[in-house]
Amino acid sequence: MGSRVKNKTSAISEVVMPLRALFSRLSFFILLVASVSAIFIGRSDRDAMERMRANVVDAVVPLLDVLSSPIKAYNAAKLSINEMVFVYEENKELRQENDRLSRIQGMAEKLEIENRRLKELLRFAPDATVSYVSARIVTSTSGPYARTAIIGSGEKNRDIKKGSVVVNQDGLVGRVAEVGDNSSRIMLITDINSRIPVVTSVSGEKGILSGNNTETLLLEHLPIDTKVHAGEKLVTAGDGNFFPPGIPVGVVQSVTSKDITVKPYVSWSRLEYVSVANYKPLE
Amino acid sequence: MIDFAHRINAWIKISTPAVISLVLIIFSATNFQLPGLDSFVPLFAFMTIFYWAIYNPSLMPAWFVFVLGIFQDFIYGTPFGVASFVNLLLWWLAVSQRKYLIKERFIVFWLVFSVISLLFCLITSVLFSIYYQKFVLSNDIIMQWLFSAFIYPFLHKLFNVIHVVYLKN
Repeated sequence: MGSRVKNKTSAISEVVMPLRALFSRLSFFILLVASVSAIFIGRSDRDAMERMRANVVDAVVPLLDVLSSPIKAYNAAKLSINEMVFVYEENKELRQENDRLSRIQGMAEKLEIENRRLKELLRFAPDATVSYVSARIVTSTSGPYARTAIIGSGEKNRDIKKGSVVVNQDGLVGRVAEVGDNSSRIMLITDINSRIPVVTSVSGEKGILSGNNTETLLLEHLPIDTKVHAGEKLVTAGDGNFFPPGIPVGVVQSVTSKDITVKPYVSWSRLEYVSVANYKPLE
Repeated sequence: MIDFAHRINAWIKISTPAVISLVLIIFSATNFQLPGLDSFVPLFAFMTIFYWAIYNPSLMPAWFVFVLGIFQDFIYGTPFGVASFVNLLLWWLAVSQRKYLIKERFIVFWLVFSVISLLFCLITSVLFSIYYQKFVLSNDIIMQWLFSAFIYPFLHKLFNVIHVVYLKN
């Protein structure tokens, strides 16, 4: 009985062992082919891949949050100390600013009433509605090959939608590229895949602002005889109904015969809170 | 019961390099909010694969190198498969050269890592350039490589401690 079991085991191992050796030798090539296949599948079925990625990020976000907390606490403490040191000077400046803003507020209220009356007179219908949701940046996963950030708000907990525009107090940050249940990935405007229709503030020319995975952006698709010059401000054009018009994006840094570079308004190292705009252009 | 405890202990030891690799990838995605250092994500995957493929390849199998690459793409938001492909090539190169490199002094090992990681940074750039159909080679890649080469000795020391003190006992 014992020898029969032994014989059976050795027969199995005679078949299994060479197969296992063959598999371990081939596994490298199989995995290499699987990697190449993943590249092609990722290109052809983006939605499925994005869903998978969003699920993984959803699972990892609490851990990223915990790991980031000591650094965030340190930065907050540093900021508090700085604020305490400069509190007297800042207070003086804020009083002056407050006086100036009070005057502007009075003017703005007057203009708002005037604007409302004129709209009523013209039976003016607004062309879009925008609602905002505030979100906290959990981490910025930017590197040389992609510029993205993860926010701790997703479809289930804050009703974030894919494609929504992301802004902060400085200007345009990016767009929601992937949405999970409790987190979302933002494609920053500096990402190589980012394209934003913009209009220049002085010359009024329309162009496309492209990211290139660096700190600056490139202004492209302008007319050949463009009059754009350094220092000119750029805002979203609102073309294609993806971005609400008039969001500040950046300022033209340099104009050469080869390219036009733009410096974004947003300071990436201070990116902590953002607003996700649910933009609905009216039909 | 003792057998079960032994098994758990063995399993923890075997999975230590893999767990450390995953933790390093998550750690590298953490927001440090240091001005100008946002894009210098250290090449932790290269470091961990290179070390373990040479000193103990059984703890860094090819399938895990593949999984690590996919995980990197999930976390960093980069196109799927590219990191796995590059990681596997690096693993294969390290395993094929381990009999020479394992005997070398640390300074030579460090130099070889620095040269090979630069080569693989360039390979990665070429692959991303093909994928995006746009030239992807910025100063950030060179800075990322320099930063990684600079911190490699610290990681090497940490891996040595784990390998010698913890895993070999």
